[in-house]
Amino acid sequence: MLFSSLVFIFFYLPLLIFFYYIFKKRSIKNLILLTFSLFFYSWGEPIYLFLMLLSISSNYLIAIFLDKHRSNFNKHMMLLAVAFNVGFLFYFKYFNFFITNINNIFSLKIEFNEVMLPIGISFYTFQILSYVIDVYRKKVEPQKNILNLAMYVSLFPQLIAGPIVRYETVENEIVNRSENLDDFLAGFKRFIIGLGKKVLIANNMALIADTIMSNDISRMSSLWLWIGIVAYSFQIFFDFSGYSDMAIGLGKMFGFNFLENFNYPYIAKNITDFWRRWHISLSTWFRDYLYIPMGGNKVSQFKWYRNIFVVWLITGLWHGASWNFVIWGLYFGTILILEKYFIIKILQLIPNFFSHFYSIILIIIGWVIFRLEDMSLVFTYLKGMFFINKNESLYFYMENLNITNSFIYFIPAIILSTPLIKNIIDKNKENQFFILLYNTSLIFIFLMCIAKLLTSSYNPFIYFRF
Amino acid sequence: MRLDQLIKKISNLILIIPLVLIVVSSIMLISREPKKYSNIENRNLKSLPSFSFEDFFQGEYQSDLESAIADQFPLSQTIKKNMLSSENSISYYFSNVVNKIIGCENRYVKFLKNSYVFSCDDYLIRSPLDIEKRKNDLSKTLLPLSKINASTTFLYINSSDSIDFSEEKINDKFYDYIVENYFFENIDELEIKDWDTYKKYYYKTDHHLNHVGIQKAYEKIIRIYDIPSAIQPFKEIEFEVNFDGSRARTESFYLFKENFRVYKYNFFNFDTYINGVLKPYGNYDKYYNFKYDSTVGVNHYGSFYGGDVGELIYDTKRNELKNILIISSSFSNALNPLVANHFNKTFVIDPRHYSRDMNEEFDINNYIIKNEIDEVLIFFDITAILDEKFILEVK
Repeated sequence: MLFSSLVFIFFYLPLLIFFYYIFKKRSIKNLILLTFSLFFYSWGEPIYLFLMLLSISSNYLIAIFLDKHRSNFNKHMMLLAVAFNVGFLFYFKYFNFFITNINNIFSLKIEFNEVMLPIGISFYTFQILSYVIDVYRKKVEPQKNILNLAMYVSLFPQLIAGPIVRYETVENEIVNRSENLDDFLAGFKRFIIGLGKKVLIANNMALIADTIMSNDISRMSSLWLWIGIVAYSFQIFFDFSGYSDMAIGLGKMFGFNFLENFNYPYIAKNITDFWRRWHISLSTWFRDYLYIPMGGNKVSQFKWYRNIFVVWLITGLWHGASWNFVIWGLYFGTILILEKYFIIKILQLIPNFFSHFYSIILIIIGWVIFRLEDMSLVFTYLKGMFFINKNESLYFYMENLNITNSFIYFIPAIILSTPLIKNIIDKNKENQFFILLYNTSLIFIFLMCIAKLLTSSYNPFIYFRF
Repeated sequence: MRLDQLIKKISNLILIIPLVLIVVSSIMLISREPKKYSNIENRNLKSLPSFSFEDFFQGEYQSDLESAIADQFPLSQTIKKNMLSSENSISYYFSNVVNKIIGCENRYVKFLKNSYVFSCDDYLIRSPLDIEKRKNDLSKTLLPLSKINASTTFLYINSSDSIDFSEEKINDKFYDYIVENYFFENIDELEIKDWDTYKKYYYKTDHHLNHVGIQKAYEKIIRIYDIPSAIQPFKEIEFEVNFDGSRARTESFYLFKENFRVYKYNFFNFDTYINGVLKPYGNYDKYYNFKYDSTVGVNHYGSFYGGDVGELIYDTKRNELKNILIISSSFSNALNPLVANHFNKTFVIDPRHYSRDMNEEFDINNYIIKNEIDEVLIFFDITAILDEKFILEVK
């Protein structure tokens, strides 16, 4: 189920709020959240619900076992648990890709049944992994109540598109959270902001990006190629950060405090900074559960670079079973090494404008690789962007004036990519007139979203693929 | 209470509005009698589906419920219409500016989702389909039609889907291809060879031929059947109501203005049977008495001439004349009574709706024998030919 669907807004959410708040007992509230979350997941792909339940119950037992048997054997058991979860993810996400490449590389004809990718498997597997590893590291206590663990893993706000909420973040809130009207309304406001980002901005940016990229790229003018990829850059940011806002807001409505997942990534001064601001829950996950255990930067220079490459290779693969994602990961891995080696030192010497420009250009190039799965198209697109051509500019424009309306959304997209509005709100948070105006504008945004949802059938979330 | 505190309370109360709206809308969605049809979208609306595990596991229930909410949401049609209409108007005005700068002579400009304008004229049209990509699809409809056991005439309707007006020599490539590759005893076209003729024969915002285009088609048919004289309209009536055609309605774009105009004829007396039931077809008299709905978005074509039905029979009770079977889409709704003047019985079949309305499959050769049909007239444009719903099974 999508947050930006009419079923969610007009049936699922009011019913959940009703049943959640009529009961006072925490265990019943948790049971209701669990039931609704499982229903939320099964709405998209009912069959894969059993898979998730299998993963939850096996990891429940693994964590109990890890806690009870503390010995040298324990480490092997933990590695086995990691292998089980990674294997689980590998089979459903990478099996097709793996066999296809084996066939291509060795000219084989291994026949296989295509495995379908269950929604949100990357997110919930990473959450479960963090839980099992943290139990092993004694950072958290194993959850004795399987229903509570199931609720943590399947909690609907973050279940299918993140953020990756670690068990330690909500460990206490599972049994000891408090709900109040202020938090509920604050959460609802955050939900509306996320909905607006997704429905009003991301979807309009998608219309522009898709219209441009579905055409023959080799015949497009440089101007259109730039407009297309800038629109895609906004689309992916507002799509994903909008979803995270909705998830954080919904969590707050039910007493959970999830960590932030984005921090204005497009104002980053360098790529290292960008990855501290983009999909924070994923980058910190890789840092804590892969990069540091491999030695991080506390090793020889060669091993340090190796660690960075391995992490970014896997980051790329996490985004999808396709070579363009691998290249995208390695592209950023290379830039990060170069930045650590010398680029950041140079950037510190030049005016901020140039470092922002440097970052945004490299980020945009990254999105070209990310968006276009075919590498020959990537090269054609990049060539078209950087080697000015005036091909078919006029023809394309006349054929696609219907996307004109969407251009207006570049304005809020640019403004909301910076902390400008947040700063204004922070400065005026004690000014009740301002808050009244702000809340009124949120209602307007909400109504606009509903009107858009009624008129538009284009509503997919990009990050469901991962 | 201090002013600040009061405003704070109001601020919080304001946030309750969307929550109340959600609850009220949900209750209305469940409790209200579902709406059946949308004039604006020209389609049946979906009502809330009943739950079944089978549909749920196949994902059909989920998509049906989402569509049903979009269709049945309170004020859904008004919201959709106004939202799209205002967005499209912005696009239109913007395109006008662009056109003035760049020029639009002999050029297609697309400022709506699926419709174009040509040469900056206020006509919503389609861009021509690529014949090379559609050749294989043609045979699915045309091959069965060429096997009908009766004298068959095909009057092909040239439309903006099949003509490229920007070409130097305007030709309907689909028509030429059909003539070369399929055998029909008699085949002819409307002969739209330039943009001005198109504008003369078609409504500004509808996919159907207008009254002038229909008169032209009718005269063609009369010539094909060697009938000495076609009846002529004695009056052109212009209704003071804007004709919002199918393209205007589906795109929710109402800026192109054109009054609804019709020809008035002295028809021969006939009875009409709609799906076997004797009743009048169309609302000619109501319109002539100026009793029509003038709301924006009303389908005046269907309302005046009559809507789409599986079987329509005109009976002039002149046994000395032949019987004719017309196979067509809604294009013939305006044409049928004109043709019916020259035959004993005129049977009109819309293959899309026959089995739904008559509770039986349409077997054309059996139908011809059963109803003693002498002539078969096929009246299709390219979109009907390429639409699988028009494929006939000829035994």
